[in-house]
This record gives sequence, C-alpha cells and structure tokens, in this order.
Amino acid sequence: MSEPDDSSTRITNVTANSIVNSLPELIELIGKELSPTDLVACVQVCRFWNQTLLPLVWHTVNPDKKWFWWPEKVEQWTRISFVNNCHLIRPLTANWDVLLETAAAQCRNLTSLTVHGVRRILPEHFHTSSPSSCAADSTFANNQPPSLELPWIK
Amino acid sequence: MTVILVSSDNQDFKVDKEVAERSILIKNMLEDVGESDSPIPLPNVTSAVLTKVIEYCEHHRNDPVQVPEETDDPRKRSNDIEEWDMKFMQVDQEMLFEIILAANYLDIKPLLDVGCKTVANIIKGKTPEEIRKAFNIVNDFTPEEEAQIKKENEWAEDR
Repeated sequence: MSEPDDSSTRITNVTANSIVNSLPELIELIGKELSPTDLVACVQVCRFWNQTLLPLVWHTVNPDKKWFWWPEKVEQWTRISFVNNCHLIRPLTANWDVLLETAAAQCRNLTSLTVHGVRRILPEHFHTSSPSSCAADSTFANNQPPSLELPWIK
Repeated sequence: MTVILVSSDNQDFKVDKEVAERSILIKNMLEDVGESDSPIPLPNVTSAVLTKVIEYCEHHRNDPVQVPEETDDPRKRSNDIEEWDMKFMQVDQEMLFEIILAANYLDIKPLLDVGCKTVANIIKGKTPEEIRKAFNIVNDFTPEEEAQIKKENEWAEDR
C-alpha cells in the first residue's frame, strides 16, 4: 500500500493553544457544560478527551429513569460496560440484582447508593468491597425493608 | 487608583484597580504587595489577548462577585450566555482558546465560564468526526477501540 499517511500533516496544523493539548481541567470544565449525548460523542474523539471526560459520563448512574431493557441486555451491559467503568461511578441507583451484585464488588468510589426494585439483597456481597472509600447512604423504595446493613455505611 | 499590567510582549496597560481586580490572581498580588505602583508583569498573556481580557473586565466591572456553586452532579448546567458576552466571544478559535487559557491563568471565573460555554456550544449536536474536524483533532483510536467506546457509553445518551 502506498497510500499517503496524512496524519503527520494534520498534526502540524494543530495550533499551540488548541483544545487538543489543553489542560485536562479545562477540558473537564467544557465537559461540564455538555449534555449527556454530546459528552458521549466527546469521549469518542481522542484518547485525551476520553480519559478526561469518561468520569463525567459515568459520574451518576441511575438506570431507573430511562432504561426499559430486556433482562439479557441488562445482564450484558452490566457484565461489560458497567464492569469496565464502574470505578468512575459516584452516586448509583441499583435496581437490578445483577447490577447490585456487581456494584457491591466493584464500585470503589461510590458516594451514595440507592437500592430499589431488587428482588434479593445480598449484604454479604458488600463485605467484600472496599469500605475505606465508600461512604454510602441507602434509600429503599418499593417496600423493600430497610434492613440491609452495609458495613461501610455510617 | 490605577495599576499597570505588562503583557508578555512588554506592552503596558493602564487600568483601574477595580477592573484589574476582576482577576483574582492580580487581586491577590495587589494585596500581597500592598500600596505600590510597580507594574504587574503577566508573562503568560500577550497584548492581543490582554486587550480582550481587559475589555471583558471593563464591561463587567460592576458585576457582583460570583459565588461558586458546588454541585455534586456535573451534568447540572446552564448554557445561557448573555448577549454582550456572546458577541465578545465571536473571535477565531485560536483567540477563543487564548482567552480561556488567560482566564484560567488570571483566575477570572466568569470569563472562564463563558469561554467554556462557547466551546460547548461549538460541540453541541456534533458527531465525534465533526468535533475532530471542528477542532483539528487527530483520531488516535483504532476503529475497534472506537467501536468499543461507542458501545460502552451509548447508554448515557439522552433518550
């Protein structure tokens, strides 16, 4: 293949102060002005934007509001997308068993956890998670008894 | 009372203290130095950019000091830019970024906000490829990586 590689010429066009090599905190500030859809477009732009903006995409996960997925799709999403990114999640609403189980084991930086609509709550899962970084408060809806004791919850 | 600001290319700008103090960096410098009329060097800001920044500070000299509102949810946002600011920001992209960098360095929060909102408005509604084009960004993902990222994050889009 003798196709010319245009990437080098494109790099020279990038101005010194362009947004590409700007400070991460500035990219983050811009990200905070974006809608979720625009943020998702931005994390696909380049590695630098991806690293900087992914925490904003995953900051808050509340599947209850807009997701009407089939159980298989929920399962698939939890096992792949969720597991790869859940260290970025701060507040989480868990309304599926599979999500709660995975969250218990993997979400290291939760600031709050809301649980509802879950058929079985498995407190023992939460013993395995890192209590040091979790200061969660739990809210129970859908008549779930507030009997779950999470060891790291104040 | 006036102060003298010196740009990176050694131009002097004589401005009212009240205007200069829109910059928290300068405000703190003046407080540290006390009563003094020695010029303040701003080695990170060119005269072209400083002219724009001073224009902004002049216009907003009487604005109340912005109270920083910390919100836990980064998606809480308002994209409204007032008309004067919108016109002020109608500059080429390089100048836009220069202004943002200067606002960041000089610690002028409202100007930084307006700059970021202006960039956000350019991004709004664009596909990843259109965003790259708009800002001359090189795609450093493999097609597989890009597909994977799209798949992992599309749940977060507005429905």
